[in-house]
Amino acid sequence: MSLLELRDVCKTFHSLGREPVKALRDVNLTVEAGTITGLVGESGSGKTTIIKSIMGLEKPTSGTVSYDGINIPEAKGETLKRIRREVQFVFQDPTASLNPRMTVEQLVGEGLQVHKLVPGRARRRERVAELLNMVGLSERDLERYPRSFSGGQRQRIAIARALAVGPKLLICDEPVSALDVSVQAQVLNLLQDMQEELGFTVLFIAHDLAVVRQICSQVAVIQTGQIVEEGPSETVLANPTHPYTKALLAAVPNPNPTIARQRALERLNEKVA
Amino acid sequence: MNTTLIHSPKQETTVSRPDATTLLSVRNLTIEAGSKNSPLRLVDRFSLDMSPGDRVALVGESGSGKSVTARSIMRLDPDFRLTGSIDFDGQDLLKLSEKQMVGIRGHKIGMVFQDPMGALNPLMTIGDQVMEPLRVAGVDRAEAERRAKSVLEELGVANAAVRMKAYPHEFSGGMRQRVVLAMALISDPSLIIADEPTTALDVRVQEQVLTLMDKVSKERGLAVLLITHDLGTVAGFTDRVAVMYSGRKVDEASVDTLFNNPAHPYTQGLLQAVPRIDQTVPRLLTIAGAPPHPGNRPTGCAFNPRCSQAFDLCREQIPELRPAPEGGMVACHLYPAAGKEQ
Repeated sequence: MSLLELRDVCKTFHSLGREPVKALRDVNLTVEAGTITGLVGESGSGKTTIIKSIMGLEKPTSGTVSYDGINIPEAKGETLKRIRREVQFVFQDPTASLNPRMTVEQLVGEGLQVHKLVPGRARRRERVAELLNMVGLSERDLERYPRSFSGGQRQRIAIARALAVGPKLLICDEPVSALDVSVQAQVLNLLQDMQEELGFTVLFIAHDLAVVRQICSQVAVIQTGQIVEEGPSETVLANPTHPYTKALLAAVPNPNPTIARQRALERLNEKVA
Repeated sequence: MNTTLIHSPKQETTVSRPDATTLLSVRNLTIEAGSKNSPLRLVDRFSLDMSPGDRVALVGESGSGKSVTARSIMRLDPDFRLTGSIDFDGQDLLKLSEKQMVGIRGHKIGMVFQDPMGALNPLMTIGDQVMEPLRVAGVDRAEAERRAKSVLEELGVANAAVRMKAYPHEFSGGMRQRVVLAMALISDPSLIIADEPTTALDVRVQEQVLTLMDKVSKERGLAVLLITHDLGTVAGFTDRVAVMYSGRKVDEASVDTLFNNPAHPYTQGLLQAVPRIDQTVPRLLTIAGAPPHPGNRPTGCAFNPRCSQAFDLCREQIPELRPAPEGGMVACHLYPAAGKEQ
């Protein structure tokens, strides 16, 4: 069953005196329930426009963006509220996405309060403490502000905040690319564990193909507003068929000096030839 | 003040090749910020040798001190207190006047930064910016223009004469980074310090810029000090890698030794924590915890709280750099000094 579905989505941006920009061109994307689906593309490929259309912040020029059978741009009232609760986001830079003047308790508990999920301050506090434990933080952190945490810990807070309201779909926009290498693996493992434990669905937007290969079961590759290849990530990333996917894969640096040097040499010769 | 940070009389060592002449020799570089009364030691007794044409990577996570070290070699931050010595081209950069440093920066040592848009002046044409180092040195405009065109062409900027009249916003990220590289190269330096030059770029553009740096440095016999957090880009580009952790150099080896037989537990952990495109694992191995704040380093080895192999000595004493069994240098108590040292 598909949880999120984009059908023939086009989005054109008009500006005075310039050629219209076709940010999305007939995008078809299906995210099956219970999977971690990767969306891969370079800057300017349309990743952000897709996210904005899922958030209901951009209305597609044509086509439909539907969540669980509901067309998102047309959702109102209780239906919209339901989508706002069931679809949650984790962004690239937790320093920017967490309000610096709110404590961890307020940040993680905000959704519980807004959606009236846990009545009573004391019980909310308990629930927030539980969520913090789940993401590897502790109840001691309730009163602290985002500034007193490291980047990796802040991203854990952002994940706890997103998971607090019990989402069915988690949209992760480059969730680890701002993190240190040694911390990136911790956050990836956490996402994977939470997904297995709670069974929600993830749309994982990334530019790092190695990260996608590690955690996504499905992957779609987007180039200048068009999905050029999609399928199980093992197949797509091991045997890519589209030239763009091949080019992306070929450019991923290989951390094996012998192979890397060989490839660097080939590239130098290509240049000369 | 943390007593474990007090200078040890012993000199830090570095992997050096005695047969080659040295271009850059950093000895016991210590960098402090903050007030004199409560100094914050950002980098502690860092040493590094580079020969002409050497390509060395300085790898570390944010806060490890790698960028501060690179910037301090050029003395870019007047607020930092630097001790030790930085011998470049026969003179100690730490003893030069600010005026003399101007003659080094951008002339004998070129610098490339992470964000090309931040490194370029949005109100100046590309041509004027590439020419600037020459103009400052007193080269006349016609000659400077000719050389700017030639270096842009060398870096694969098509139609260079026309594009020199363009402004930075008219260029793509990869093109901007070529311009920054051209600015660094135009005075024909013998060393380029590149601080995360490809981090802000898309993966395919990243490859193009690296290939370009590879080509230019080989053709010109240019030494490159590449500062990065990305081990992947290091593997194909450099000969030697130095790993920094919490302000100290903890590991240094040839690129092959470092990737195939990493000595320091931190280096081992880093290599395992990076997802690889050529293999998947059921679960990524992680290094628990996070790097310490420079003002709050643990006693002993700064890595000990995150190290699975730490023992009592690691919590008491900072390990000095010593020769590693597979070659290179490592600062870790797992490798006791050969002979009667200590």
